[in-house]
Amino acid sequence: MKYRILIMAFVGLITNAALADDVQYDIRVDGITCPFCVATSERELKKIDGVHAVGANLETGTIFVCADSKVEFTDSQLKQLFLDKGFTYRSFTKGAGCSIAENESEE
Amino acid sequence: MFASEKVRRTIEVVFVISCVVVSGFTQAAPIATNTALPLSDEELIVRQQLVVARSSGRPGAQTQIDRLESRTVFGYGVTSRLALFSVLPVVQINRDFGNVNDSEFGLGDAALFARYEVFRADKPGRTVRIAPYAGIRVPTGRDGKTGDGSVDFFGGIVATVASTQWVLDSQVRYDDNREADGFKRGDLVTLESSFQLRLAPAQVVFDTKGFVFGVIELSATKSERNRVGGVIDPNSGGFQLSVTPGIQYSTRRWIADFGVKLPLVSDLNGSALESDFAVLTSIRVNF
Repeated sequence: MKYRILIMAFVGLITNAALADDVQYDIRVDGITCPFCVATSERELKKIDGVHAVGANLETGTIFVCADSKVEFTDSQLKQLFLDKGFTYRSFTKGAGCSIAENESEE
Repeated sequence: MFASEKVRRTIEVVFVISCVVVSGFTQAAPIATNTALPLSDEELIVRQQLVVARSSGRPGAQTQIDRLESRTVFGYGVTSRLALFSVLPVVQINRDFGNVNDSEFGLGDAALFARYEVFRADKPGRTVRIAPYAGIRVPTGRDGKTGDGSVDFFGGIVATVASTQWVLDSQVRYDDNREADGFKRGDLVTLESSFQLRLAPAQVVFDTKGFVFGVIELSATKSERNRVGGVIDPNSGGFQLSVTPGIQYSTRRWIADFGVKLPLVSDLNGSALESDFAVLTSIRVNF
């Protein structure tokens, strides 16, 4: 029983540490008007190593990206990525922790 | 000879049935046309359209043509602005002239076209885009039966204004039809507008998966008379205005739509056949 509690506590610590290491990028993108439009950008973002989940708020034109803390986006990288997908990148903010779940971006 | 004809027809029937089955199991854009389909860099879309249309002669003429057409459309984004499209139709045409009936089945004339976006203005949840396009229609159909036999050219310009609430696509198009085997279909000028209004959900939330759009489309076509052996056919060409109410469901990966095209005004020359209706349905998937 003691071992079980210890193992669970250990797993819990590891999980918490992993979640704490995640960051969320809120990316402002203009021109996205429908779920179909989000899909192409989402696929491109998910190709980036360390990106876990992608979500979007169409009304505000914001794309949310949950990623490992090692992922570092740059303005020029995001500008080109969204230009290729047919949209206009504006800016991003980065925060600790993720408010979107892993499956938010699933169909 | 008979056996090979039978095999060919069987292959064609299987192809059409496959297309229909695929479309049965699987961003808002016009229902009737393909020139405004949105495409980004290295994106591939496949659209399967099924069109059932009927045309008939003036009252008392006892002439009726039914056309079932399956169109397979491929679109590929070469860059974020340049897109290439192909449209491959398979058609079944039944003609009823009162005492005489006949039918044709096979490949129709395929079309290839390129579109280049020359203007784009984006705002949060809004966009305006303008793109000219040009293409060619090649005689893959059987001359005089499921195709015209001629190499034709067409071009136009399409403009899209979109928000998360609605989308408006408008285009003007010119079809420059050429002569083949003594027949020349009249050139066409077409003006089309498609308005798509989001009906559901009422509010876009973080995890909105799909939109339902109500669609209304207007199409005005002015066509010249056909020429047969260099002689003008007086019973061809004219002006037609039609409306297409419809519905569309848009998700992240696929879009399905359905509409019925109905004539509003038919001012055709002589005894040219008038369009009675066309039922249009399609499914579109992006890769």
